Amino acid sequence: MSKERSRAQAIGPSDKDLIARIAGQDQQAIEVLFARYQVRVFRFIQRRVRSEAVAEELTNEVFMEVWRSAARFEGRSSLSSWMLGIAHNKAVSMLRKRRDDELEDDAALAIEDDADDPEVTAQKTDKGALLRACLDRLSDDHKTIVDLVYYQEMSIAEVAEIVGIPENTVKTRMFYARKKLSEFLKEAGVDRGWP
Amino acid sequence: MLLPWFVAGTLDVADQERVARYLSAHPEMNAQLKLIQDEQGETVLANESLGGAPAGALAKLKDAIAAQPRRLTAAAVRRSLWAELGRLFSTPTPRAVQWAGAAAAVLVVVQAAVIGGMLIKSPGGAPNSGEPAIAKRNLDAPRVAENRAPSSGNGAVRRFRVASGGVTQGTRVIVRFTPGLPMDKVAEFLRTQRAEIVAGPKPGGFFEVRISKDKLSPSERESAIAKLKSATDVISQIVP
Repeated sequence: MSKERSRAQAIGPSDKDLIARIAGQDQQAIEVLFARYQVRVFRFIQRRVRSEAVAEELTNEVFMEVWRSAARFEGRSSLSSWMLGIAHNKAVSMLRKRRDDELEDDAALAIEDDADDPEVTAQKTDKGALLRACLDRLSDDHKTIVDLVYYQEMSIAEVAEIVGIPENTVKTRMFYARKKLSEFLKEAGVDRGWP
Repeated sequence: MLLPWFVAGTLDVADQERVARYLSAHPEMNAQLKLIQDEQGETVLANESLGGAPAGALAKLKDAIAAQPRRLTAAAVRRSLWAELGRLFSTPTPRAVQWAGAAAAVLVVVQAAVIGGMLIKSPGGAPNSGEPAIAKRNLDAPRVAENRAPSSGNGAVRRFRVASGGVTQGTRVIVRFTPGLPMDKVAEFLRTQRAEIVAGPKPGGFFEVRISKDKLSPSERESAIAKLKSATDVISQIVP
């Protein structure tokens, strides 16, 4: 992920240049920004809303927001964390509109409590797949933190800004996310010896 | 609690070293480190198994942007005005020529009225004293001119004290400031560079900036220009 990020930014104008040009209504600049960041934004949203169509719609809304608000970007945070903050708010709004039951049902299907299910059997033998399934079972708050730290490679301060919580809360939320993950793995028969 | 960020490599240098020292002193924590590395690996895999926005998403974005009403930024208004003038002079229609002629005539009349008014009124003295009012002005005093700032947000006009007669030309360059930059930032930047705007805005949103009251040598001038160029958050273009 880091190599991808640094490679994308090494080629072409800097993020700072792009946002300045977007503030001046330079459409080419927003296209460059889209090419640079759409994958990260899309994946961040899709992991939460679990729908490609909704993720596409919200991703476009994020870039529209960037287009409209570029002049107000003060550069106190990185451009990526600013955009992921917008994406976070859009995902939260979308999730609030959905029924909780629908989400919990989807999460529960990730690991079934039936030892005869071949898929579960395969997951149990493939610890990686099992871990991914358990990551998917995490609550939205926990999954967000995990994705931001492990995949989006955001610092504690950046996560705090994106999610809108204090830095200490970021650390404790990550702790409890990992603890929950271990509980799910234990339920599935994998004891990691922690916590 | 910092281990996930240590593994991701996103701690600041001091914390990264502190955690590294802790791990060296507590080898039993390596097991925990391994768990976190596994979590990170599977999180990355889970994300990378997803694609990006489907083909056609960029086209939808462009359509949505095109449907937006254009923002009236100062730069956009200037581009629009200059584009209109360019069209007027490159492909004049009879009606456009008529309007241009009428506008020029109005301008001449207004200008005559202003100059006439200035000549009639003489500062502190009787009219028709036989001495042009202009001669009584102190040419060495700096004039305050009204110049439109790069971006003053609410479109208010700010006044710049410009260099005027009696002061040396010094060394000047033509710059364009970053669009959308608050005027305060421009003023602060110029103050730190001991530079000042002497004219502008010119066509294209450029300003003439005096970077030294003295005539700089070519190498000194290059060095001063390089310093300005490095301030990419303030200066978007510079013409030596």
